[in-house]
Amino acid sequence: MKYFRSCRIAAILLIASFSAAEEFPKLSRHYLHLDMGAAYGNFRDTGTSPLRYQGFTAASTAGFLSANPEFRWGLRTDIFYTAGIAANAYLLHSFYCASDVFYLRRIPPLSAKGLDFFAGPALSGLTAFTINDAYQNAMVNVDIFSGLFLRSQLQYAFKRPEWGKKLAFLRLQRPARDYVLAFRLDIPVLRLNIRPEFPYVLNGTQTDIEKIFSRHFFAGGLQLQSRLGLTRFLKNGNAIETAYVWEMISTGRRDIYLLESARHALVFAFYFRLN
Amino acid sequence: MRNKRLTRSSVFIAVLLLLNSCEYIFFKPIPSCSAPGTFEYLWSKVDEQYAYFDVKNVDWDAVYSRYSAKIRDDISEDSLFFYLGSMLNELRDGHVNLFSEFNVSRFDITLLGPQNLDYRLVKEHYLGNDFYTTGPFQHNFIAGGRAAYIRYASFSSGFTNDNIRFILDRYKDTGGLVLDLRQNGGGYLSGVYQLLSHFITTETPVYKTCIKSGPDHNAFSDTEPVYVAPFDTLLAYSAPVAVLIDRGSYSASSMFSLAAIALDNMFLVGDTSGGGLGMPNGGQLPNGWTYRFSITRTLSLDDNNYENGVPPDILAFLDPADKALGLDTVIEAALDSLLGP
Repeated sequence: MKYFRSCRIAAILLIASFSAAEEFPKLSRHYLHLDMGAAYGNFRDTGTSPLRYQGFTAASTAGFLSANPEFRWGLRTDIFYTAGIAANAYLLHSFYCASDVFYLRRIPPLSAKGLDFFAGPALSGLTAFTINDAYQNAMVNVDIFSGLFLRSQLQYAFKRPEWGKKLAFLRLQRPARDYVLAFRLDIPVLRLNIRPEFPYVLNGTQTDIEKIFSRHFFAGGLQLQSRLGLTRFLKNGNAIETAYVWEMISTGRRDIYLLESARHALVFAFYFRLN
Repeated sequence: MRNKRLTRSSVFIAVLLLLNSCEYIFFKPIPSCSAPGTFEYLWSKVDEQYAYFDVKNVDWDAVYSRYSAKIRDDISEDSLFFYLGSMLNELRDGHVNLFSEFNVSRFDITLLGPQNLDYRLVKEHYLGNDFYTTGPFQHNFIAGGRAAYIRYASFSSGFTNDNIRFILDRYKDTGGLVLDLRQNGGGYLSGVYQLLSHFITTETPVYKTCIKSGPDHNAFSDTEPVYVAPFDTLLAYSAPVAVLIDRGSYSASSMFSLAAIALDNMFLVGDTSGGGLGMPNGGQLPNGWTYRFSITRTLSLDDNNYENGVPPDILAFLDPADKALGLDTVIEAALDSLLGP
């Protein structure tokens, strides 16, 4: 009850901040956003195993970003795959497909010259497929997580000055460049989970699809997402970013079988300016 | 001014790095992989999820007392496997196994009765040399063309509807079929529904099912009927079908036998089937081994639980005297019922 009350208050605050938005400034820059990265991930679903599977993750993202000095909004879709090993023998394949849409506004009281703080709501959905043939009839599982997040982004813009030096016959030169160092953190306001029920497996002795796929639906758990990135703006208006992404999910006490998952990714992102 | 900015940035980065590696603050610790820890984990999983304690008449608390005394920290892996496997075998269930990289524990249900099939006898005196192989089925006319014999050795071998249509079309003018599921150890349940769909003309309830819904031994979901839809109402085979079973007819074969009880044009001949009507769930132990055991119940439409075996309508065992004459007693019993003595 307490959980739902705090969710309601947070949701009202988020909606209020959204509706207080002023008229959009006209000079927004639109970007097509493509990420590629590699990472180390871990996964544990106590419905099938108490062990934590750890392994290599490959990820890619496509999205759209519209940004100007006062606000930014965007949407993106992530696909990532992890091959995890536990007990030196058992291999787990995990496929995640996530998407989110967000709207952030600059918060002037928390911003200073060069240092900008943005905050706003982000709606996120994630579908996770896991396959491990060691679990026999429980070898395939699908989990669905969705949530409303409070997204905050602190960014520091700086310029590296032009630099030049003459060494004998060589003339070394480095042009001035614009950078943004940004940290983004998503904190859940409301999370909804669709997970296996007590027996964990689907009732394959049934022929009625609805009865085979009955699932456990509950609110709660913890999901944190953060991204620390350094973006370099190019002369042609495009940008490239090197980022460290950390994401974790824990389905919490309300789940029948606790699921815990995390990944640490080194990501290279390309922002192609569209206007 | 420059130093102040540098300090602020350093603190900022340090906080961020801390935030970026803190999932283990939120994650729960992994249970002990010691021998007693592994034993406790497996015993609890079975205690909470196994579906047939009452049918098997097993006192699982007494099993705990007996085996926990044998599990010490310094026990060898082989001994731990032996004790855990023996503990699981107390359930006397062919769907219960423990898997390690060096062994697989099992309860061999086929040893509970005689192997009621001599395939050489069937080949020599019933299938003959000119039998057809259609998908996983071997079949031919028997009894002078008045009936047909179809051998299906495993539900793990998939088939197509065209396979079945070919077979049923070939024997459409016979007085009945003998479908031999003896020593068919099961496989894909979808094959049961697919095969049944060619013998019915309307959507038909074939049995009931429920699944564990909580840790209590008697906690189950509502019992729901399972329906099979006809493949083609006009092409369904309507002559009588004798389904041959023995103790080796396990899991999906027992499911088919249970469904046969519900159909008017099918009857069971041979020995009691092996049972195994629960769907096994798999999982892993803290030491990395894996296991499986049944977590659903399947009941007949009149609520009988045949987990320990579906009884035949006509009890028949291979008779050595018949064998000497080139006769399979079970097939002959089926033919007597199909065609008359």
